[in-house]
Amino acid sequence: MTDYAVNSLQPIVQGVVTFPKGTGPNSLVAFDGEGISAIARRAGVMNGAYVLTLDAGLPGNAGAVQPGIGILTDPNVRTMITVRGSGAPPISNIVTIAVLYLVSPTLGVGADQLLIVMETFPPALADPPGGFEIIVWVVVDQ
Amino acid sequence: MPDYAAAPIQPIVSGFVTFPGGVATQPFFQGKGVSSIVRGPSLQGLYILTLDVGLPGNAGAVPFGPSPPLAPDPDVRTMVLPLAIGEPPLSTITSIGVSYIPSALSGVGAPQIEIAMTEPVFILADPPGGFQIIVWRGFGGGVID
Repeated sequence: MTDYAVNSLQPIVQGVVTFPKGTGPNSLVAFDGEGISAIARRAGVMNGAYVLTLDAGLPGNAGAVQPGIGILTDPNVRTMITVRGSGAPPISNIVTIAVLYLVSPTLGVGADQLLIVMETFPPALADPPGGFEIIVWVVVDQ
Repeated sequence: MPDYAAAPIQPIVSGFVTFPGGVATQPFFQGKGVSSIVRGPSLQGLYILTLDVGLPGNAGAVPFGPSPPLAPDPDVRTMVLPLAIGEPPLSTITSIGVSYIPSALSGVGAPQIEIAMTEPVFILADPPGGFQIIVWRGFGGGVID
């Protein structure tokens, strides 16, 4: 078989985030999947901003995005998000999605939390009523 | 090699949707894992992809998940990326939504995926350059809130 692989990658998170009691200011947010030990809204932000805590693990192992060079924290981590549409047709109300890796204060641990922020249009923080799918990958340098 | 893996996954669809006759014409799927593609009830921006036939709960259907509010399956992921055209190669699409259409047959799960794309302001529209799609299935998981 032809080997196209130039980058080994491993998923460290996969799951779906939903709003079991519906969207709205500070409504309950839930994660169903693997690789996340806790999910909460960003403190002081009522809509569209979520903090996901990675499963606990050894420093640099599962449960943390390794420290990297520069502001990206780690150039070998990828977060991919797809909004699940709600209604018929299943149109998404989200037009921008951003992700930030929150670094642990413990030296050498790296980033053990993800901050995800979503906006609708006109620009305003907003929850997607149908929830969203998420995968986080770590690419392994050869 | 360090083992970060906490979440095994497998791709069940990989392909590329184009509009050989231009936008608002018949969409065309090239790739693997999809047996047909048709438009939803809209001239543009709404597509229904039927997965390859498979055993219930196997490839060819997205099984129902364990949590009714998360139906059909918390372990399926669809990733869509429009291909831009022009110079510079801009995309016209500002929002993408995905939904899973359950089969009427009990136990089969969702053999179809519906994708909705919009331009500003939430008007259904085709991406002139088409779009790439991957659908993955993961394994396991549980609710955390």
